[in-house]
Amino acid sequence: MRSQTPPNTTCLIRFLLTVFYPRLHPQRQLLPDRELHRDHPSENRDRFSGLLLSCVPNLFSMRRVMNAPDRYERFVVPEGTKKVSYERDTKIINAASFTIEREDHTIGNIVRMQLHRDGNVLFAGYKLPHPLQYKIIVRVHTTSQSSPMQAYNQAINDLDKELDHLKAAFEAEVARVSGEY
Amino acid sequence: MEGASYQRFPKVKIRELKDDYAKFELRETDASMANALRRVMIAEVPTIAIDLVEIEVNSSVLNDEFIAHRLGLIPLTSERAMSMRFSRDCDACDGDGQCEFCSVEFHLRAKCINDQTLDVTSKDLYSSDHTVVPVDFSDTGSGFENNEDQRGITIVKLRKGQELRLRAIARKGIGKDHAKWSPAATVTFMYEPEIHINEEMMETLSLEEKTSVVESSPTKVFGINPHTQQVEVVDREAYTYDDEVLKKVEAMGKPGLVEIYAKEDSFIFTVESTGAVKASQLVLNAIEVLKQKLDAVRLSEDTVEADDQFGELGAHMRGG
Repeated sequence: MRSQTPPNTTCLIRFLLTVFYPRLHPQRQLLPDRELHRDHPSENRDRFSGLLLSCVPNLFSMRRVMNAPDRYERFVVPEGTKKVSYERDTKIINAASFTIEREDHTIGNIVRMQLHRDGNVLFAGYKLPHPLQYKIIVRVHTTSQSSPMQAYNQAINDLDKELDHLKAAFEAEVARVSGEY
Repeated sequence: MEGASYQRFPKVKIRELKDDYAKFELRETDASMANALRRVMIAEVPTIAIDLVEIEVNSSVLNDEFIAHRLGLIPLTSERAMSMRFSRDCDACDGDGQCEFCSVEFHLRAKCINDQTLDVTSKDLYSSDHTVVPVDFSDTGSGFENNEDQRGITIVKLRKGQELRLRAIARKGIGKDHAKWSPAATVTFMYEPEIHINEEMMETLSLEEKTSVVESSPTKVFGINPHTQQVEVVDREAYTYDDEVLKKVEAMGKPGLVEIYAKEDSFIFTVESTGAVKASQLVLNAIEVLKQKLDAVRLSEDTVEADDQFGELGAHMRGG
Protein backbone atom coordinates (compact mmCIF):
# COMPACT_ATOMS: atom_id res chain seq x y z
CA MET A 1 0.00 0.00 0.00
CA ARG A 2 1.97 2.93 -1.21
CA SER A 3 -0.33 5.87 -1.76
CA GLN A 4 -3.37 7.52 -0.29
CA THR A 5 -6.60 6.52 -1.92
CA PRO A 6 -8.64 9.48 -3.19
CA PRO A 7 -12.05 9.57 -1.46
CA ASN A 8 -14.28 8.55 -4.40
CA THR A 9 -12.09 5.54 -5.14
CA THR A 10 -12.23 4.42 -1.51
CA CYS A 11 -16.01 4.54 -1.62
CA LEU A 12 -16.02 2.71 -4.91
CA ILE A 13 -13.63 0.06 -3.58
CA ARG A 14 -15.72 -0.44 -0.46
CA PHE A 15 -18.91 -0.74 -2.49
CA LEU A 16 -17.43 -3.21 -4.91
CA LEU A 17 -15.85 -5.19 -2.09
CA THR A 18 -19.14 -5.50 -0.27
CA VAL A 19 -20.96 -6.52 -3.41
CA PHE A 20 -18.48 -8.99 -4.87
CA TYR A 21 -16.66 -10.17 -1.79
CA PRO A 22 -19.08 -10.01 1.12
CA ARG A 23 -16.61 -11.33 3.66
CA LEU A 24 -14.64 -8.11 3.43
CA HIS A 25 -17.60 -5.95 4.42
CA PRO A 26 -16.31 -3.62 7.14
CA GLN A 27 -18.96 -4.58 9.64
CA ARG A 28 -18.22 -8.28 9.43
CA GLN A 29 -15.63 -9.81 11.71
CA LEU A 30 -12.49 -10.52 9.70
CA LEU A 31 -11.77 -14.23 9.53
CA PRO A 32 -8.18 -15.33 10.05
CA ASP A 33 -6.40 -16.90 7.08
CA ARG A 34 -8.79 -15.26 4.63
CA GLU A 35 -8.29 -11.58 5.05
CA LEU A 36 -5.22 -10.56 3.12
CA HIS A 37 -3.54 -7.21 2.98
CA ARG A 38 -1.01 -7.37 0.25
CA ASP A 39 1.86 -5.00 0.37
CA HIS A 40 2.40 -5.86 -3.25
CA PRO A 41 -0.90 -6.05 -5.15
CA SER A 42 0.56 -7.14 -8.48
CA GLU A 43 1.82 -10.47 -7.15
CA ASN A 44 -1.73 -11.71 -6.78
CA ARG A 45 -2.08 -12.00 -10.47
CA ASP A 46 0.10 -15.04 -10.95
CA ARG A 47 -0.02 -16.51 -7.46
CA PHE A 48 -3.72 -17.09 -6.82
CA SER A 49 -6.27 -19.02 -8.75
CA GLY A 50 -9.92 -18.28 -8.16
CA LEU A 51 -11.88 -15.44 -9.62
CA LEU A 52 -12.86 -13.57 -6.50
CA LEU A 53 -9.40 -13.16 -5.06
CA SER A 54 -8.08 -11.98 -8.40
CA CYS A 55 -10.72 -9.25 -8.45
CA VAL A 56 -9.46 -7.79 -5.21
CA PRO A 57 -5.98 -6.73 -6.38
CA ASN A 58 -7.47 -5.13 -9.46
CA LEU A 59 -9.69 -3.04 -7.26
CA PHE A 60 -6.77 -2.14 -5.04
CA SER A 61 -4.66 -1.22 -8.06
CA MET A 62 -7.27 1.27 -9.23
CA ARG A 63 -5.76 3.61 -6.74
CA ARG A 64 -2.56 3.75 -8.81
CA VAL A 65 -2.19 5.78 -12.01
CA MET A 66 -4.28 4.23 -14.76
CA ASN A 67 -1.63 3.68 -17.43
CA ALA A 68 1.54 3.30 -15.39
CA PRO A 69 3.18 -0.12 -15.75
CA ASP A 70 3.79 -2.26 -12.66
CA ARG A 71 7.03 -1.77 -10.79
CA TYR A 72 8.23 -5.30 -11.42
CA GLU A 73 8.12 -4.58 -15.16
CA ARG A 74 11.34 -2.66 -14.69
CA PHE A 75 13.35 -5.83 -14.21
CA VAL A 76 11.29 -8.95 -14.93
CA VAL A 77 11.65 -10.09 -18.54
CA PRO A 78 8.31 -11.52 -19.68
CA GLU A 79 8.03 -15.02 -21.13
CA GLY A 80 8.92 -15.18 -24.77
CA THR A 81 10.90 -11.96 -24.90
CA LYS A 82 14.62 -12.21 -25.35
CA LYS A 83 16.82 -10.27 -22.99
CA VAL A 84 19.25 -9.16 -25.72
CA SER A 85 18.63 -9.01 -29.43
CA TYR A 86 20.23 -7.08 -32.21
CA GLU A 87 19.59 -5.67 -35.64
CA ARG A 88 22.25 -4.94 -38.17
CA ASP A 89 22.03 -1.59 -39.86
CA THR A 90 20.91 -1.99 -43.45
CA LYS A 91 22.75 1.01 -44.85
CA ILE A 92 26.04 0.98 -42.97
CA ILE A 93 28.34 -2.01 -42.76
CA ASN A 94 29.69 -3.08 -39.37
CA ALA A 95 26.94 -1.25 -37.54
CA ALA A 96 24.32 -2.77 -35.27
CA SER A 97 21.78 -1.80 -32.63
CA PHE A 98 21.47 -4.03 -29.57
CA THR A 99 18.15 -3.96 -27.77
CA ILE A 100 18.47 -4.97 -24.11
CA GLU A 101 15.18 -5.59 -22.34
CA ARG A 102 14.49 -4.50 -18.75
CA GLU A 103 17.70 -2.60 -18.23
CA ASP A 104 18.45 1.06 -17.67
CA HIS A 105 21.29 3.56 -17.38
CA THR A 106 23.14 1.36 -14.90
CA ILE A 107 24.14 -1.07 -17.67
CA GLY A 108 23.77 1.27 -20.63
CA ASN A 109 26.27 3.87 -19.51
CA ILE A 110 28.87 1.42 -18.31
CA VAL A 111 28.80 -0.61 -21.56
CA ARG A 112 28.89 2.53 -23.67
CA MET A 113 31.92 3.99 -21.86
CA GLN A 114 33.76 0.68 -22.13
CA LEU A 115 33.01 0.52 -25.87
CA HIS A 116 34.55 3.98 -26.25
CA ARG A 117 37.84 2.59 -25.03
CA ASP A 118 37.96 0.09 -27.88
CA GLY A 119 40.16 1.36 -30.71
CA ASN A 120 38.09 -0.42 -33.34
CA VAL A 121 34.83 1.22 -32.32
CA LEU A 122 33.92 4.26 -34.40
CA PHE A 123 30.62 5.01 -32.70
CA ALA A 124 28.99 3.81 -29.48
CA GLY A 125 25.91 5.25 -27.86
CA TYR A 126 22.88 4.18 -25.87
CA LYS A 127 19.42 5.54 -25.27
CA LEU A 128 16.19 4.79 -23.47
CA PRO A 129 13.58 5.23 -26.18
CA HIS A 130 10.92 6.10 -23.59
CA PRO A 131 11.09 6.32 -19.80
CA LEU A 132 8.05 4.06 -19.45
CA GLN A 133 9.39 1.38 -21.79
CA TYR A 134 11.99 -0.47 -19.82
CA LYS A 135 14.65 -1.24 -22.39
CA ILE A 136 17.82 0.31 -23.80
CA ILE A 137 19.20 0.42 -27.30
CA VAL A 138 22.97 0.38 -27.70
CA ARG A 139 24.25 1.36 -31.12
CA VAL A 140 27.77 0.35 -32.19
CA HIS A 141 29.74 1.05 -35.38
CA THR A 142 33.13 -0.55 -35.83
CA THR A 143 35.89 -0.57 -38.39
CA SER A 144 36.20 -3.61 -40.62
CA GLN A 145 38.85 -4.99 -38.25
CA SER A 146 36.11 -5.98 -35.83
CA SER A 147 32.37 -6.42 -35.71
CA PRO A 148 29.80 -4.80 -33.44
CA MET A 149 29.01 -8.14 -31.77
CA GLN A 150 32.66 -8.79 -31.09
CA ALA A 151 33.18 -5.30 -29.71
CA TYR A 152 30.08 -5.64 -27.53
CA ASN A 153 31.11 -9.00 -26.11
CA GLN A 154 34.66 -7.80 -25.59
CA ALA A 155 33.39 -4.77 -23.68
CA ILE A 156 31.27 -6.95 -21.41
CA ASN A 157 34.16 -9.33 -20.77
CA ASP A 158 36.45 -6.44 -19.91
CA LEU A 159 33.89 -5.00 -17.52
CA ASP A 160 33.50 -8.40 -15.89
CA LYS A 161 37.25 -8.64 -15.35
CA GLU A 162 37.37 -5.09 -14.01
CA LEU A 163 34.67 -5.94 -11.48
CA ASP A 164 36.57 -9.08 -10.45
CA HIS A 165 39.65 -6.96 -9.88
CA LEU A 166 37.61 -4.39 -7.93
CA LYS A 167 36.06 -7.07 -5.78
CA ALA A 168 39.44 -8.57 -4.93
CA ALA A 169 40.88 -5.13 -4.17
CA PHE A 170 37.97 -4.23 -1.91
CA GLU A 171 38.05 -7.53 -0.04
CA ALA A 172 41.78 -7.16 0.51
CA GLU A 173 41.27 -3.64 1.86
CA VAL A 174 38.50 -4.75 4.21
CA ALA A 175 40.71 -7.56 5.50
CA ARG A 176 43.56 -5.12 5.98
CA VAL A 177 41.45 -2.57 7.83
CA SER A 178 39.69 -5.13 10.02
CA GLY A 179 42.97 -6.88 10.69
CA GLU A 180 44.35 -3.69 12.14
CA TYR A 181 41.86 -3.81 15.03
CA MET B 1 40.36 -9.94 -33.70
CA GLU B 2 40.31 -11.27 -30.16
CA GLY B 3 42.93 -10.58 -27.57
CA ALA B 4 43.14 -6.84 -27.15
CA SER B 5 41.74 -6.02 -23.74
CA TYR B 6 40.80 -2.54 -22.69
CA GLN B 7 40.33 -3.44 -19.08
CA ARG B 8 40.90 -0.98 -16.27
CA PHE B 9 42.49 -1.87 -12.93
CA PRO B 10 40.72 0.05 -10.19
CA LYS B 11 42.29 0.69 -6.80
CA VAL B 12 40.49 0.95 -3.49
CA LYS B 13 41.56 2.54 -0.25
CA ILE B 14 39.23 2.44 2.73
CA ARG B 15 39.26 5.49 4.94
CA GLU B 16 36.63 4.61 7.49
CA LEU B 17 34.77 1.39 8.11
CA LYS B 18 32.01 0.88 10.65
CA ASP B 19 29.12 -1.57 10.69
CA ASP B 20 26.72 0.73 8.91
CA TYR B 21 29.06 3.33 7.42
CA ALA B 22 31.94 3.07 4.99
CA LYS B 23 34.03 5.77 3.38
CA PHE B 24 36.50 4.73 0.73
CA GLU B 25 38.42 6.02 -2.26
CA LEU B 26 38.00 4.44 -5.66
CA ARG B 27 40.71 5.26 -8.19
CA GLU B 28 41.58 4.53 -11.79
CA THR B 29 38.11 3.77 -12.99
CA ASP B 30 35.47 5.65 -14.88
CA ALA B 31 32.59 7.76 -13.58
CA SER B 32 30.18 5.36 -15.27
CA MET B 33 31.48 2.54 -13.07
CA ALA B 34 31.20 4.64 -9.93
CA ASN B 35 27.67 5.66 -10.83
CA ALA B 36 26.70 2.10 -11.72
CA LEU B 37 27.90 0.93 -8.31
CA ARG B 38 25.94 3.70 -6.62
CA ARG B 39 22.76 2.88 -8.54
CA VAL B 40 23.09 -0.83 -7.84
CA MET B 41 23.72 -0.25 -4.13
CA ILE B 42 20.54 1.77 -3.84
CA ALA B 43 18.19 -0.13 -6.14
CA GLU B 44 19.38 -3.62 -6.97
CA VAL B 45 21.06 -5.26 -4.02
CA PRO B 46 18.48 -7.71 -2.66
CA THR B 47 17.18 -7.56 0.89
CA ILE B 48 14.36 -9.15 2.84
CA ALA B 49 11.33 -7.16 3.93
CA ILE B 50 7.80 -7.92 5.02
CA ASP B 51 5.60 -8.24 1.97
CA LEU B 52 2.36 -9.90 3.04
CA VAL B 53 0.45 -9.24 6.24
CA GLU B 54 -2.50 -11.24 7.54
CA ILE B 55 -4.26 -9.37 10.31
CA GLU B 56 -6.36 -11.33 12.76
CA VAL B 57 -7.26 -8.63 15.22
CA ASN B 58 -6.64 -4.92 15.00
CA SER B 59 -8.41 -2.61 17.39
CA SER B 60 -5.72 0.07 17.36
CA VAL B 61 -6.16 3.60 16.12
CA LEU B 62 -4.31 2.86 12.86
CA ASN B 63 -6.10 0.96 10.13
CA ASP B 64 -4.94 -2.37 8.71
CA GLU B 65 -3.15 -1.14 5.61
CA PHE B 66 -1.43 1.63 7.57
CA ILE B 67 0.07 -0.95 9.90
CA ALA B 68 0.92 -3.26 6.99
CA HIS B 69 2.75 -0.36 5.29
CA ARG B 70 4.74 0.38 8.44
CA LEU B 71 5.67 -3.26 8.88
CA GLY B 72 6.98 -3.37 5.33
CA LEU B 73 9.36 -0.51 6.00
CA ILE B 74 11.03 -2.15 9.00
CA PRO B 75 14.60 -3.17 8.00
CA LEU B 76 15.34 -6.86 8.58
CA THR B 77 18.83 -8.35 8.79
CA SER B 78 19.30 -9.74 5.31
CA GLU B 79 22.52 -11.73 5.27
CA ARG B 80 20.50 -14.55 3.71
CA ALA B 81 19.13 -12.45 0.92
CA MET B 82 21.86 -13.01 -1.67
CA SER B 83 21.46 -16.79 -1.49
CA MET B 84 17.67 -16.80 -1.20
CA ARG B 85 15.33 -17.16 -4.15
CA PHE B 86 12.79 -14.63 -5.27
CA SER B 87 9.39 -15.98 -4.39
CA ARG B 88 8.19 -15.60 -7.97
CA ASP B 89 11.03 -17.91 -9.07
CA CYS B 90 10.58 -20.47 -6.33
CA ASP B 91 9.46 -23.90 -7.47
CA ALA B 92 9.41 -25.49 -4.03
CA CYS B 93 6.26 -23.73 -2.88
CA ASP B 94 2.84 -24.98 -3.65
CA GLY B 95 2.17 -21.81 -5.53
CA ASP B 96 1.52 -19.30 -2.81
CA GLY B 97 5.07 -18.04 -2.34
CA GLN B 98 5.22 -18.89 1.34
CA CYS B 99 7.58 -21.83 1.62
CA GLU B 100 10.60 -21.92 3.89
CA PHE B 101 13.06 -21.45 1.02
CA CYS B 102 11.73 -18.23 -0.32
CA SER B 103 10.14 -16.51 2.67
CA VAL B 104 10.40 -15.89 6.40
CA GLU B 105 7.39 -15.82 8.67
CA PHE B 106 6.85 -13.32 11.48
CA HIS B 107 4.14 -12.93 14.03
CA LEU B 108 3.19 -10.17 16.37
CA ARG B 109 0.79 -10.34 19.32
CA ALA B 110 0.22 -7.35 21.50
CA LYS B 111 -2.55 -6.38 23.83
CA CYS B 112 -2.63 -3.48 26.19
CA ILE B 113 -3.83 -4.61 29.60
CA ASN B 114 -2.93 -1.81 31.98
CA ASP B 115 -3.56 1.90 31.98
CA GLN B 116 -0.17 2.81 30.52
CA THR B 117 0.14 3.23 26.75
CA LEU B 118 1.68 0.17 25.19
CA ASP B 119 4.29 0.89 22.54
CA VAL B 120 4.29 -1.91 19.96
CA THR B 121 7.76 -1.86 18.44
CA SER B 122 9.85 -3.86 16.00
CA LYS B 123 11.20 -5.81 18.96
CA ASP B 124 7.77 -7.39 19.35
CA LEU B 125 8.04 -9.00 15.91
CA TYR B 126 9.04 -12.63 16.34
CA SER B 127 10.73 -14.36 13.45
CA SER B 128 10.69 -18.00 12.42
CA ASP B 129 14.31 -17.69 11.31
CA HIS B 130 16.75 -16.29 13.82
CA THR B 131 19.03 -14.93 11.09
CA VAL B 132 16.29 -12.65 9.76
CA VAL B 133 15.20 -10.31 12.53
CA PRO B 134 14.36 -6.61 12.74
CA VAL B 135 17.56 -4.59 12.85
CA ASP B 136 18.67 -3.65 16.31
CA PHE B 137 19.47 0.04 16.41
CA SER B 138 20.63 0.30 19.98
CA ASP B 139 23.97 1.95 20.44
CA THR B 140 26.22 -0.61 22.06
CA GLY B 141 28.41 2.05 23.63
CA SER B 142 26.08 4.46 25.36
CA GLY B 143 24.57 3.34 28.64
CA PHE B 144 23.08 6.78 29.18
CA GLU B 145 20.54 6.60 26.36
CA ASN B 146 19.72 3.00 27.18
CA ASN B 147 15.96 3.16 27.40
CA GLU B 148 15.49 5.51 24.45
CA ASP B 149 17.13 3.57 21.62
CA GLN B 150 16.74 0.01 22.75
CA ARG B 151 13.02 -0.08 22.35
CA GLY B 152 13.09 -0.52 18.57
CA ILE B 153 10.98 1.11 15.87
CA THR B 154 7.50 2.05 17.04
CA ILE B 155 4.82 0.39 14.94
CA VAL B 156 1.70 1.51 16.78
CA LYS B 157 0.66 2.60 20.27
CA LEU B 158 -2.17 0.83 22.07
CA ARG B 159 -4.54 1.98 24.75
CA LYS B 160 -6.08 -0.23 27.40
CA GLY B 161 -8.15 -2.91 25.75
CA GLN B 162 -6.73 -2.47 22.25
CA GLU B 163 -5.15 -5.46 20.63
CA LEU B 164 -3.06 -6.24 17.59
CA ARG B 165 -2.47 -9.71 16.29
CA LEU B 166 -1.00 -10.47 12.92
CA ARG B 167 1.10 -12.81 10.84
CA ALA B 168 3.55 -11.44 8.31
CA ILE B 169 5.56 -13.02 5.51
CA ALA B 170 8.84 -11.45 4.48
CA ARG B 171 10.29 -11.98 1.03
CA LYS B 172 13.37 -11.13 -0.97
CA GLY B 173 13.16 -8.10 -3.19
CA ILE B 174 15.12 -5.19 -4.63
CA GLY B 175 14.88 -1.44 -4.18
CA LYS B 176 13.73 -1.03 -7.76
CA ASP B 177 10.51 -2.79 -6.86
CA HIS B 178 9.81 -0.90 -3.65
CA ALA B 179 11.97 1.33 -1.48
CA LYS B 180 11.42 -0.89 1.55
CA TRP B 181 13.85 -3.34 -0.02
CA SER B 182 16.63 -0.80 -0.45
CA PRO B 183 19.55 -1.65 1.87
CA ALA B 184 21.22 1.75 1.52
CA ALA B 185 20.35 4.80 3.56
CA THR B 186 22.48 7.04 1.36
CA VAL B 187 25.28 6.32 -1.10
CA THR B 188 27.21 9.25 -2.47
CA PHE B 189 30.42 9.76 -4.37
CA MET B 190 32.34 12.89 -5.19
CA TYR B 191 35.19 13.65 -7.50
CA GLU B 192 38.42 14.19 -5.64
CA PRO B 193 39.46 17.83 -6.04
CA GLU B 194 42.95 18.93 -6.98
CA ILE B 195 43.77 22.41 -5.73
CA HIS B 196 46.73 24.48 -6.91
CA ILE B 197 47.69 27.75 -5.26
CA ASN B 198 49.90 29.99 -7.31
CA GLU B 199 52.55 30.86 -4.72
CA GLU B 200 54.13 33.72 -6.66
CA MET B 201 50.84 35.52 -7.11
CA MET B 202 50.02 34.81 -3.48
CA GLU B 203 53.11 36.71 -2.41
CA THR B 204 51.70 39.90 -3.90
CA LEU B 205 48.65 39.82 -1.62
CA SER B 206 48.28 41.57 1.69
CA LEU B 207 47.11 39.67 4.76
CA GLU B 208 43.58 41.13 4.53
CA GLU B 209 43.29 40.02 0.93
CA LYS B 210 44.49 36.54 1.85
CA THR B 211 41.96 36.37 4.67
CA SER B 212 39.17 37.45 2.34
CA VAL B 213 40.12 34.72 -0.13
CA VAL B 214 40.14 32.13 2.63
CA GLU B 215 36.79 33.29 3.96
CA SER B 216 35.04 33.45 0.61
CA SER B 217 34.63 29.70 0.58
CA PRO B 218 31.42 28.55 2.36
CA THR B 219 33.22 25.45 3.59
CA LYS B 220 36.59 25.50 5.27
CA VAL B 221 38.87 24.50 2.42
CA PHE B 222 41.67 27.03 2.93
CA GLY B 223 43.33 28.43 5.98
CA ILE B 224 46.17 30.75 6.83
CA ASN B 225 49.18 29.13 8.37
CA PRO B 226 49.88 31.09 11.58
CA HIS B 227 53.63 30.65 11.29
CA THR B 228 54.29 31.40 7.65
CA GLN B 229 51.26 33.67 6.98
CA GLN B 230 50.63 31.74 3.77
CA VAL B 231 47.34 30.51 2.41
CA GLU B 232 47.30 26.76 2.41
CA VAL B 233 44.78 23.98 1.87
CA VAL B 234 43.31 22.85 5.19
CA ASP B 235 40.73 20.31 4.05
CA ARG B 236 40.75 19.40 0.39
CA GLU B 237 37.60 17.35 0.53
CA ALA B 238 35.48 20.02 2.16
CA TYR B 239 35.32 21.57 -1.29
CA THR B 240 31.82 21.21 -2.66
CA TYR B 241 32.52 22.40 -6.20
CA ASP B 242 30.86 25.71 -5.65
CA ASP B 243 33.14 28.16 -7.42
CA GLU B 244 32.99 30.84 -4.75
CA VAL B 245 36.75 31.03 -4.26
CA LEU B 246 37.32 31.28 -8.00
CA LYS B 247 34.71 34.02 -8.31
CA LYS B 248 36.25 35.94 -5.42
CA VAL B 249 39.71 35.65 -6.87
CA GLU B 250 38.48 36.96 -10.22
CA ALA B 251 36.61 39.80 -8.55
CA MET B 252 39.84 40.76 -6.85
CA GLY B 253 41.43 41.00 -10.26
CA LYS B 254 43.80 38.06 -9.82
CA PRO B 255 42.51 35.13 -11.91
CA GLY B 256 44.76 32.11 -11.79
CA LEU B 257 45.59 32.63 -8.13
CA VAL B 258 43.78 29.44 -7.23
CA GLU B 259 43.05 26.64 -9.67
CA ILE B 260 40.76 23.77 -8.78
CA TYR B 261 40.23 20.69 -10.93
CA ALA B 262 38.19 17.58 -10.36
CA LYS B 263 40.25 14.47 -10.95
CA GLU B 264 38.28 12.52 -13.48
CA ASP B 265 39.10 9.04 -12.31
CA SER B 266 39.27 9.44 -8.56
CA PHE B 267 36.14 9.14 -6.42
CA ILE B 268 35.37 9.31 -2.73
CA PHE B 269 32.44 7.09 -1.82
CA THR B 270 30.33 7.42 1.30
CA VAL B 271 28.07 4.44 1.95
CA GLU B 272 25.50 4.41 4.75
CA SER B 273 23.48 1.27 5.24
CA THR B 274 20.09 0.87 6.97
CA GLY B 275 21.50 -2.00 8.97
CA ALA B 276 19.95 -4.72 6.84
CA VAL B 277 23.34 -5.47 5.34
CA LYS B 278 26.72 -4.33 6.64
CA ALA B 279 28.23 -1.44 4.72
CA SER B 280 31.26 -3.41 3.48
CA GLN B 281 29.02 -6.33 2.56
CA LEU B 282 26.74 -3.92 0.71
CA VAL B 283 29.57 -2.84 -1.60
CA LEU B 284 30.60 -6.45 -2.24
CA ASN B 285 27.02 -7.48 -2.95
CA ALA B 286 26.67 -4.56 -5.33
CA ILE B 287 29.73 -5.70 -7.28
CA GLU B 288 28.30 -9.22 -7.39
CA VAL B 289 24.90 -8.03 -8.61
CA LEU B 290 26.51 -5.85 -11.27
CA LYS B 291 28.48 -8.84 -12.51
CA GLN B 292 25.28 -10.90 -12.69
CA LYS B 293 23.57 -8.15 -14.68
CA LEU B 294 26.45 -7.99 -17.14
CA ASP B 295 26.36 -11.76 -17.52
CA ALA B 296 22.68 -11.63 -18.36
CA VAL B 297 23.34 -9.02 -21.01
CA ARG B 298 26.07 -10.88 -22.84
CA LEU B 299 25.36 -12.03 -26.37
CA SER B 300 24.88 -15.76 -26.28
CA GLU B 301 25.63 -18.02 -29.22
CA ASP B 302 22.01 -18.52 -30.12
CA THR B 303 21.37 -14.79 -30.21
CA VAL B 304 24.19 -14.35 -32.67
CA GLU B 305 23.23 -17.25 -34.91
CA ALA B 306 19.53 -16.60 -35.06
CA ASP B 307 19.90 -13.01 -36.06
CA ASP B 308 22.89 -13.70 -38.22
CA GLN B 309 20.70 -15.88 -40.41
CA PHE B 310 18.15 -13.15 -40.60
CA GLY B 311 20.83 -10.65 -41.31
CA GLU B 312 22.23 -12.67 -44.17
CA LEU B 313 18.80 -13.44 -45.55
CA GLY B 314 17.68 -9.88 -45.21
CA ALA B 315 20.79 -8.59 -46.88
CA HIS B 316 20.36 -11.12 -49.66
CA MET B 317 16.71 -10.18 -50.16
CA ARG B 318 17.61 -6.55 -50.27
CA GLY B 319 20.15 -7.35 -52.92
CA GLY B 320 23.07 -6.55 -50.64
